[in-house]
Amino acid sequence: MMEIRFHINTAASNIARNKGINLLTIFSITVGLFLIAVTAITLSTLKSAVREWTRGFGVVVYLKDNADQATVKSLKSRIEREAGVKEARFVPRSAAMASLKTVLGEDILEGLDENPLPDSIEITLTEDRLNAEFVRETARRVKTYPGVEDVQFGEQWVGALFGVARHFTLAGTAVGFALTIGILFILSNTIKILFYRRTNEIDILKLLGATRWFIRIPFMAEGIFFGLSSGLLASMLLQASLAWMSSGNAIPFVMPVTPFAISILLVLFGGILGLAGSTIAVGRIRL
Amino acid sequence: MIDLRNVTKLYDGQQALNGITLHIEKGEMVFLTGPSGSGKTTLLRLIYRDEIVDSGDITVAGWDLRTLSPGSIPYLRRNVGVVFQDFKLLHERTVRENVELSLRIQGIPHHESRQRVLATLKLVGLAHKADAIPAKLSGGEQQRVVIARAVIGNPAVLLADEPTGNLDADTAREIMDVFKAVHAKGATVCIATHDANLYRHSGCRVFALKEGAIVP
Repeated sequence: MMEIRFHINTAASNIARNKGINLLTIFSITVGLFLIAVTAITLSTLKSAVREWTRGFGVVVYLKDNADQATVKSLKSRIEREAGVKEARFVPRSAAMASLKTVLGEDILEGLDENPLPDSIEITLTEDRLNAEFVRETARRVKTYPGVEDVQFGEQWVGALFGVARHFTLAGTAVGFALTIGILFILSNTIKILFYRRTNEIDILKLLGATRWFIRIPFMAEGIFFGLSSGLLASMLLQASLAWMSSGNAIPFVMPVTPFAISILLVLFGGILGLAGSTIAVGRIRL
Repeated sequence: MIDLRNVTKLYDGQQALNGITLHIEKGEMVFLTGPSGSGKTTLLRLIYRDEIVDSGDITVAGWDLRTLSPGSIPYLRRNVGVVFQDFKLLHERTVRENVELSLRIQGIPHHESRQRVLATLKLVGLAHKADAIPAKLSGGEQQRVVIARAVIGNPAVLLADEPTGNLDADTAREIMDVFKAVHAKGATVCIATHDANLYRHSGCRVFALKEGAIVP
């Protein structure tokens, strides 16, 4: 415990001695962590929007004209047993026509002698299964069931929407990864510079019998300090930005976790990166 | 305690030490003497493993320096206190912190080391300068800080490289008194100096070096 205090004191006095480079490092890491948080929130908002847009999305199963009631009943219960099906609702042709009249207006459909629309079953899928592959596969399977004339679903629309969402997720993950690598690079290089600035002091410590870890620990403590303080600043910056944006007609951001949790996560993530960056730096330096 | 057998050291092909053989008993105080460039500093650096021999064997306090692993060097150095010719003090730290550093490196906690630091600073006559930084001290005072740092860990071996080189006669005598006190506590002391006044009436063995070899 006493040794930890000694190393922390050593790190603190070293930090105080190199204010310029330390402030520059903290500023750079703060910006990096802030951008990582913004990327995470943007992705979370996008995912939530896609989920919202596809909530009412379903598959419509058109029935054959000659399908009797027993066939329809059997088909409906079979569809309900399908994985990912939240609801299967029978829509008689008369109800479909009524619905069409509501949408298009009575006048347009006035000339029709008979109802051309078939009976149908509207399937609503559970949210977790709303992806293009699953919808396509379900539709293909249902189409083979007895009494089914055709199955329709917004294949292209769903595919495009999920495709865009997937690309954004990939791009966001890549950005987050690149920023993380950048932060590690900055941290590692700063620790190396600080190390080389103190070569004379380190040589003296070695001559007095200091072990490698005795020399390394203050540098690792400095790395953790950089990470934690940058995390704290980034979380303050983020909270201020969110407060500012929510005061106007801003986009309703969807946070992946609560604002408090995201602050804690930013500080912790900063600390972990600080430890990792400094460990990489001191590990590469020959003592 | 210190055993050198046929030790040779080269720098850029130039022979710095040539076939040195000497044995220093445990608790003995000896002097290494010779003109500048005779190899005194090189010999001391070999003993605290700042340099590696090119040939020959060295044993210090039971450590075979030829086979000593890099991870064991710190533990050897904790048993060998060194008074460096160029002091090697940390100038951002106070006298107290410089002296205490040896104990902190050995893992001795602050509450235990505090008393030892004060006692050692009293021994070298610097208790009143404990909170000063080295740059504010005279050459003689800095020398005494280095001695305090070297002896505070009660090392088995104490090496001193020209410890009175820049000091007036009175201060040099005081410094020698400190070495005698440390020696009286049982440490093996080896002092490299070209000042004959230090060893002339000491009654200690003197090894004279010339061009890297011991001369009679």
